[in-house]
Amino acid sequence: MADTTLPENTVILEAINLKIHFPVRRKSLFEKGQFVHAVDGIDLKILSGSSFGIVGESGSGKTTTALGMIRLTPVTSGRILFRNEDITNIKGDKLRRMRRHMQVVFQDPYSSLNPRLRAGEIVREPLDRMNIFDKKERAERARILFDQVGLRREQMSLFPHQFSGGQRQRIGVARALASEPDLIVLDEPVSALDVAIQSQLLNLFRRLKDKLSLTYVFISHDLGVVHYLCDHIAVMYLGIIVETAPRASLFRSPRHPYTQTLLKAVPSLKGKLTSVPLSAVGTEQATAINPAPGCRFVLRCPHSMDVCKKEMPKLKEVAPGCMVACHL
Amino acid sequence: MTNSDILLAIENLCVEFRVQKGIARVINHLNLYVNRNETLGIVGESGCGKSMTALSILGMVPIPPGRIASGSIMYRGEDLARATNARLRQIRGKNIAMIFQEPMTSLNPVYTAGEQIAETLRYHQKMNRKEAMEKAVSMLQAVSIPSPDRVARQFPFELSGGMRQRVVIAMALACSPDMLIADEPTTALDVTVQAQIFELLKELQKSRKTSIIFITHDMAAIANMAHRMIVMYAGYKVEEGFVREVLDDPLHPYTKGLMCCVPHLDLEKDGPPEMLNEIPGIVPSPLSLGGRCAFAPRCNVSIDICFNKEPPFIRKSETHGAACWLLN
Repeated sequence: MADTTLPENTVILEAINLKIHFPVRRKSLFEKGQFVHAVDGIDLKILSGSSFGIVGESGSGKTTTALGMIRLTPVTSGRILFRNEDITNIKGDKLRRMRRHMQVVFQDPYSSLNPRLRAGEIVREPLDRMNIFDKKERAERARILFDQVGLRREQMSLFPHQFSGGQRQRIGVARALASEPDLIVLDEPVSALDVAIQSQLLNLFRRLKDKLSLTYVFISHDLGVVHYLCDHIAVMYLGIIVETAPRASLFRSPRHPYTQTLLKAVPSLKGKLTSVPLSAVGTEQATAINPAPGCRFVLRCPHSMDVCKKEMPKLKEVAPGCMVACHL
Repeated sequence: MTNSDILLAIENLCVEFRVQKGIARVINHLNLYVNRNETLGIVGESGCGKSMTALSILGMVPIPPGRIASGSIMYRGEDLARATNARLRQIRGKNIAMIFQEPMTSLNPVYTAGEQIAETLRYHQKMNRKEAMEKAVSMLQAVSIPSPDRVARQFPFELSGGMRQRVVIAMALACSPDMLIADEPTTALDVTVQAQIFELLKELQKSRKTSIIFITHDMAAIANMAHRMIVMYAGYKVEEGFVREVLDDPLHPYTKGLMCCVPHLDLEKDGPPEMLNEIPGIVPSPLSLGGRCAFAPRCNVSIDICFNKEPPFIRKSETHGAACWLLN
C-alpha cells in the first residue's frame, strides 16, 4: 500500500486555474499566433477514495484536463497539487517518483500496449523502471496482478495481439496497478469495447476500487457508465467546467443548460427520447481557437441572455457540493 | 400484415468466408423481412453478422473469399443474391441506399458535398449538372443543414461529424430509395448530435415512407428508432419481434443479458447502483460454429440439448419469437 493512505474526504489531487493551450500552425509568418484553448481555467478538487467522473463530448477538453493533471501533457498555466504538494513544474527524478502514485488506463486497447512485449513483461515493466520491490518479488507481484484483473497466469507469456480487446484492457489495468498507485486516471477505458465486455470491466473497476482503496478520475462521454461508476461528476464544455455535482444531484436535477441538453439526448430503453428539436439546439458552436469572451455555450443555449455573450460565468456553489457556471 | 407489405425478405441466408484456418460462417440460416414504411432494427455486438447482412443485401460481400452459400434475398420479386453486378449497381443508391458508420471515410474528401449528392442524381436519374446541383441543395435543406447553398460548396473536412453524416443521409435519400440501410450511423458521433440524427431519420422515414434497416449495438437507440427488431449473435438470429415486445419481455438469454449489462440511468435511487449483470466469456469464433446453440457456453440457463443441437426458431406469438430450446 502507499506510504500513507489519506483519510477519506481529504483532497488528493487539485487543479487551480489550469490552462492548457495548444498552438495552431500558422499559415504564414505574418499571421498572428492562434491557440486552441483546450483547457481554459479549470478548478478541480478530487477527494481521496472518490470516483470522480469528467464528462463531455468530443472537444470538451476532458482528456486533456485529466492527463494534464497527472503531468502527461504540458501545462500552459495554473497549478496542480498532489497531496498538497505543488507538482506543476517538477522534473526529472522527482517527477518520476511521483508517477508511481498516479497511473493511467488508456482508451485504445490496441495501441496502448507494446506489441513486442509479452503480457507478463508489460505488467512488470513499471516495477523494473521505478525500481519498486525486490527483483525477486516483482515476478510474483506481476502474477498477483494478473489474478486480480481476471486473467490466467498461463497467459502471461502471450503477446498482446493474442488477446481480445477486453483482455488487453485488463492487461492495461494490471499495468496501472503495478506500482500500487493512489489514483488512477481512466480515459474512456471501455468506449472501444462491446457492451457485454464493458459490463465485465466496469464491475472489475468497481471491485478493484473497493478492494485497493483507489481514487479514480474517470473520463467518459457515456453518461450511463459515469452514473454507474462515479460518485462525483464534472461536466465540461469547450475547455470549461460548466457544472459539478454529486451523482444523484447531477442526474436528478441538472442545473446547467448544457447538462440538461446532454441528459435529454441520452436514449433510454423505454424509448421515450425527449425530443431535442433541431432548431432549438443549433448546429453552430463556439470555437476553442482564440475563443470569444462570454459563455462558450451561448450559441446553443435556449436561455441565453445578453450578459452571456459578454461575460464568462464563474463556477458558483448553488447547493452543497453543487457548482454551476451560468448567469441564470 | 399481408404479403404485399413486405419490401425485402431474406430467407435461410448463409454467408461464409474461406480462410486459411477453414470456413468462417458469418451468417447462419438468417430469416428476416422488412415491411414498407417501417424501421427494422438489427442489434448485436461486433462480429454478430449485422454489418455483413447489410453488405449481403447490396451485393457488397467480397467474393472471393466470401460466398453466399445458400438462401435468397427477395426484393420486389427479384433475388438480389443472384443478381448480376450490373443490376446491383442500378439498385444501389436508387432503390436501396446505405449509410455507414464513419462519415469521414464514406465521403470523398476531394469533392464538395454538393458534388457528391449531384453525382448520384446524374448517374441514376440522368439529370444534367444544373438540375442535379439544384436538387442537391434542396436535399441538404431536407436534412436540416443551415445555409445549404454554402455547405454544398464545402468539402467534407470543413464540416463537423454531424454535418457530414447529414450529407451522407442526403446522398442516400437523393433518389428517393424504397429502403435505407443505416449501419451504426451515430456511433462515431456525440450524444447530442446523435439525438438530432435520430430525429432527422424518423422524420424522413415518415415523410418519404422509406423503410429503414437500422443496425446498431445500442439497444436504447433501437428503442427510439425502430418498430420491429431482431437480435443477432454469431451470425444467427436469436430473437425477433416488435420493439416493445422484445424489450418488455425478452425471450432469449442473450437478449436479457444484453439489456441487463448496460448501465441504465436509474434516477430513482440515491445510492450507488447495483453491480451490473455480466455476460461472462467471449463471442465464439465463426470457424467453430454449428451443431449446438452458439450462445450455450456463455448461457446461465443452458441445458444439455443446447450443447448438442442447434435450437429452432420458436414463436411465442405471431410476431415474437426466439431461437432457444427453453421455449420448447
